[in-house]
Amino acid sequence: MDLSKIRVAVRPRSASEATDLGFVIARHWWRPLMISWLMVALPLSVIFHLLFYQTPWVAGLLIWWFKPLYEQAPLYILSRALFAEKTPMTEVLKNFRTITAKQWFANLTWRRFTPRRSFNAPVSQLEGLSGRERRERIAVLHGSRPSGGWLTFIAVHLELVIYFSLFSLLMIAIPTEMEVDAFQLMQGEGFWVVVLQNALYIIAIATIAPFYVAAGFSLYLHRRIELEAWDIEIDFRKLRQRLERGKDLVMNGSIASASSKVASLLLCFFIWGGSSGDLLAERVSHVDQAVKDATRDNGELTPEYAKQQISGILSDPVFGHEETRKVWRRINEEEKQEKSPGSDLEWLARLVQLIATIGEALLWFFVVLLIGWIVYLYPKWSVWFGLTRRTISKQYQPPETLFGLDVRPESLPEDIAKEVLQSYQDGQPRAALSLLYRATLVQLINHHHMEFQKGATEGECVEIVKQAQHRTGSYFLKLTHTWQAMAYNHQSPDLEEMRALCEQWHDQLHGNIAEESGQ
Amino acid sequence: MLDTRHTFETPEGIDLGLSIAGVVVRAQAWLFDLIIRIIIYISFGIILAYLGRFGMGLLLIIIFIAEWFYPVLFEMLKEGATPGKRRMGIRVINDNGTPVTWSASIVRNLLRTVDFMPFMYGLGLVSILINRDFKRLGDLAAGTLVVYEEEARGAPQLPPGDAEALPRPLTLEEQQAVLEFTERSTRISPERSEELAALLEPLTGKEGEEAVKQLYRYAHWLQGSV
Repeated sequence: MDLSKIRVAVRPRSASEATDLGFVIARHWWRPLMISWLMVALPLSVIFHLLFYQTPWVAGLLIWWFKPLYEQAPLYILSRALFAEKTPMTEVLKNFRTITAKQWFANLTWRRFTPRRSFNAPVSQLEGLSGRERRERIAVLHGSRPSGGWLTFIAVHLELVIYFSLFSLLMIAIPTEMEVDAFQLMQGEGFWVVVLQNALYIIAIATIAPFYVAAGFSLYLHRRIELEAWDIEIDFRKLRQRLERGKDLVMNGSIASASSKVASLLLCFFIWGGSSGDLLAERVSHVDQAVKDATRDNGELTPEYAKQQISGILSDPVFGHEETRKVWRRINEEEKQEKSPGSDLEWLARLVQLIATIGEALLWFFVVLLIGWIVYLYPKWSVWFGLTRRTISKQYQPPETLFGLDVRPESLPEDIAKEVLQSYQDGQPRAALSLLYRATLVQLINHHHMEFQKGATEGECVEIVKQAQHRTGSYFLKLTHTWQAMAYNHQSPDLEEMRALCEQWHDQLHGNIAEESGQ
Repeated sequence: MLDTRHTFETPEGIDLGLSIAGVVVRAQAWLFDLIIRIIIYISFGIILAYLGRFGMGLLLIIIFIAEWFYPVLFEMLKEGATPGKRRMGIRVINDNGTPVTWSASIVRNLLRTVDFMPFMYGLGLVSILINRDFKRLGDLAAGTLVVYEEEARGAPQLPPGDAEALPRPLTLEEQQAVLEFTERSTRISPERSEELAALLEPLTGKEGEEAVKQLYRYAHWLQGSV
């Protein structure tokens, strides 16, 4: 048993944590545990059914009774796997008698009903104890707080949970037309019904068995770790190794205390340089020499002197040096050699080359794709990252009508202000105001980039202009109010008001167009 | 290295080690909670039986509320532990190590119904057996973990003795091993203690019982006790 090879974290735990660790262990080696378990359980189950084909429930009982027998091989495999030793199934088969049949009679009779079965199993199975020795050993291992009972209690119930879950799933899967009664099936006595029950039971115990065995073994290990301080042993062994390694290096020691500074400094270099066997001894003698040199004159150690010594040692060939060599070489030969790197593997080399070329081509393809994608998405990103200001988005389609008013630019007459006053004086204030309002909307949409959505209300339009902090905001607000009073309240503005609106329109909106078009 | 302990790094760069609780201990906690609930139902049932049909209606409402919210309330108000979990020394936390939140607790407990399928937590059991962090489906959905309560560990209790300086510097782990050995040596058999101490012969330069004593002295020196 080599503790340094152990595959689980060794430290003192609580019993519950040790149980949980067992579940982790079982999950890790689930396959070999399951296979080795089935290897014994399945043939035995078949034999039981053949023997008791008239009373298959006896077969079921025997399957349950023989459980300790199935658990021996998984425990054996686990005990080796934990110390990084693989156990081939053939080996298990070869040693079938010693592994599976070990103390089988005791296991199947008076030990069958102890609730701490999986905890005790390693004592007889792995330590090979029996009789009084075994009893005493188990007493020591359990100590004042025996464990393993809860594990068995819960595991039995987990088996039942799986058994009845499988049963329920089966019932769900059977079409209702077949009119199978679940309770009848559960208590049924026909041969195949009982065989089905037994099969489900085997699946249930097979699912839990690896976990049960591993958890019991883990509890056993937990107690041994506690009693024998395995974790301390591992740490102490590591420390010992380190100390012994250190001693080898400083052997022939007798390093004077004054020079220990230099020595440890040099040692750093040596360890860092990496070493093996024969070189090591040589280097150690270097250390000795250096230490002797360092302390030769009056035993004092100055930094300059140390530096000089260090550079002297670093110039040693051990630390690497450059060397120029000149040789003749035929150029053709070199090319030929490169071309045939081992004839039988050439196809492989070519294949690798081909794969590499394809890979490279694909890589460049993706680079181009990526660049294209970035270019394609640039307008969006630039807005997200605030590189460019959001202007009219491409999707924006200016509406043709807003709240029933035609807002297409082409629907407007040439000189709007004149037209408006004209129709006002003709006694059509509603038409006049509507034209002015319409013209304002058209201007805002087409020349001031206000994004009025289709179906927006007057109020929403005002809000949009306000949010844009457009300089026409107050004018637009006033105009909207006048228009709303006209349209919904039949309050026509007087002539002065109308004139003022027209003039302002000219100043704020129409003049602007002239400017823009002038540019 | 197989272990049930997982470390989580906090934003401050501190590693928190959490031991994750598995099937058996959680089943035990659940069983304990079940017994508590049954006792509550029976005692309420006896009292409410005097109120006739109204009392039975009230009892059913109590059972309904308790079945759905017993775990949620305890997990939220009692630091992630129902009485059963408290007894077993485990509690629920978020899987990033923070205390469990209301929404997570509600999700994990409402999803008990799914874990319960098809019979007595069949799905939940399979999920716990398979999942690396022993999570049932509710835990997966809510992002919660069930972990062991960390017990506060005081300063090591060393057997009395003198202190003596270590002859050479040791790394932190090695110092801890020496302290650990001294602290636990009373629970280890004397023969085993000597066997372990003999491993450090290059350090102590002694053998047998003397080596053990020497390690004790180093431990006292390391602990810095007066």
